Amino acid sequence: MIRAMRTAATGMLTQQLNVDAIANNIANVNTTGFKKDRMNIRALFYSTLKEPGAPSAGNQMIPTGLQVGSGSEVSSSVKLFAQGDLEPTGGPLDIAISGEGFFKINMGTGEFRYTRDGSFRQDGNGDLVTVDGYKLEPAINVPPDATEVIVGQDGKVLVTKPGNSTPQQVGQIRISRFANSSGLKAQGDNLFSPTASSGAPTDLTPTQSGAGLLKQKFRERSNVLVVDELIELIQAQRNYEVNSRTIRVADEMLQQISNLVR
Amino acid sequence: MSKGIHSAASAMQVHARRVEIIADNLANLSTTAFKRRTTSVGAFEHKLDPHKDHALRTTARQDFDQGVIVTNGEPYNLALDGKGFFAVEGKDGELYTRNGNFRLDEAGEIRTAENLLVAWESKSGSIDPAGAAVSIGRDGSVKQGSEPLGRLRVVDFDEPQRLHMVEGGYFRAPEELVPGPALAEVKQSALESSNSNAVREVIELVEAQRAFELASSVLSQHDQSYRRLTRQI
Repeated sequence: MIRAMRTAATGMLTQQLNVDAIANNIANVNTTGFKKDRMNIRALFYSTLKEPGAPSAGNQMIPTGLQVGSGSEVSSSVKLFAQGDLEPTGGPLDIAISGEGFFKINMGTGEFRYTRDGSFRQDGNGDLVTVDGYKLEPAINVPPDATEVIVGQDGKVLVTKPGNSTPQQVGQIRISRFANSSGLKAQGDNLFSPTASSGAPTDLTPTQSGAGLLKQKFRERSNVLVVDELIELIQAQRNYEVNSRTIRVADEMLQQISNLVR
Repeated sequence: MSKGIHSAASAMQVHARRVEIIADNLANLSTTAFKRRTTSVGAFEHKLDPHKDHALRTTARQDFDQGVIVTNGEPYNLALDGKGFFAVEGKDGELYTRNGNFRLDEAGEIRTAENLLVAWESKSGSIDPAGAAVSIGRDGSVKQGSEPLGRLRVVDFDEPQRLHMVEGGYFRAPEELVPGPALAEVKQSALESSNSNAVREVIELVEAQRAFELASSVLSQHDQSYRRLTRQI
């Protein structure tokens, strides 16, 4: 009975973490470049009470044995990097990646972070920066007198200046790919940092070697679908409920045992 | 007299064990590719030896019914449709799992969530992590772009019931159980859900609880009879 209670408790804990992840996904339904989390749930260890195939008392073989599990646990959480919808914004410095890859962001401390959020601004020197003011790497400088900025699908940045109708190239945006992007560590502020599990980044020119292409004047919406999340939420809640029911049943049975002794 | 009280006690034990197994099925409602265990109660010993008590025993069978396959868009998430298992390289020998929650590591190897290498039936090349998209066919054949790289090892057993369950949803095969070819189809970018179903499990849970209740009231009836008997002596 005590085992059944513990088993049900692991089930409740799993569902609770699941609800936490779903809540975070729903809260980020409007976050640019957000990638939803999913909990990997796995079975806990099994106690073998009877070996499958062991001989029984009457020299018969037990065909299936008896193994009792001890519940479930969340083994890891993964980011699902499925493409989010691209939404036109009209802003010339809003750049979305269609396909694989991340923008490389210079944190100014010699460290680099990676993001799918391509809503860039200009700082005082005309360099492209994220909303939080971190520079894009390699740095792209748009001269203050530029009248138009054009970002090609392949990452070439061209500007036109007054009195010269031919656009001139001022830089090349490169994007980074990882062997296992699910292994990236989310750092908040839409930024990711590489880990041993994600592997080292490969810096690529957009559209080449499997890297995605760039879309100027677009932003990538969150890949969270509210309907999916709500269905998951309802399921998680019901699963939580039935696990709590198991605890009640085990409790009632224990009570019955204690009632036997008078 | 004592025979009856032992029968009732053994019935209580059996149904308590059933509750433990159902609790595990319920705790794993969201576990990827979990296979529920069904319980049955039988008086095996009694049939074999009529002089023995009516001792009952719980047996649990793995229910290998297909779980629902949910697509998610991750290239290294694989689901098996039909009978079979992915083979993975465990620390001491091959392990088997239906959980295809895999990923690609830096060296281009496909690994499970527990970092075990996924076994290949035949391998002619390795995946370039920075290369083109990888597609995995129904038979488990892996292609990067248009270049074939080999086939993942998908196996099945004559008697999957005899597989030994270990932590994390893996199975270990006893020596005499030899893996053979599988009928299962591999579905890329999808995962198999748990085949444990809340409604069915709760019904069984209530049933086991009531059976336990009955057995315990039988036991207390016996107890009362004893009491009456001792009072009369």
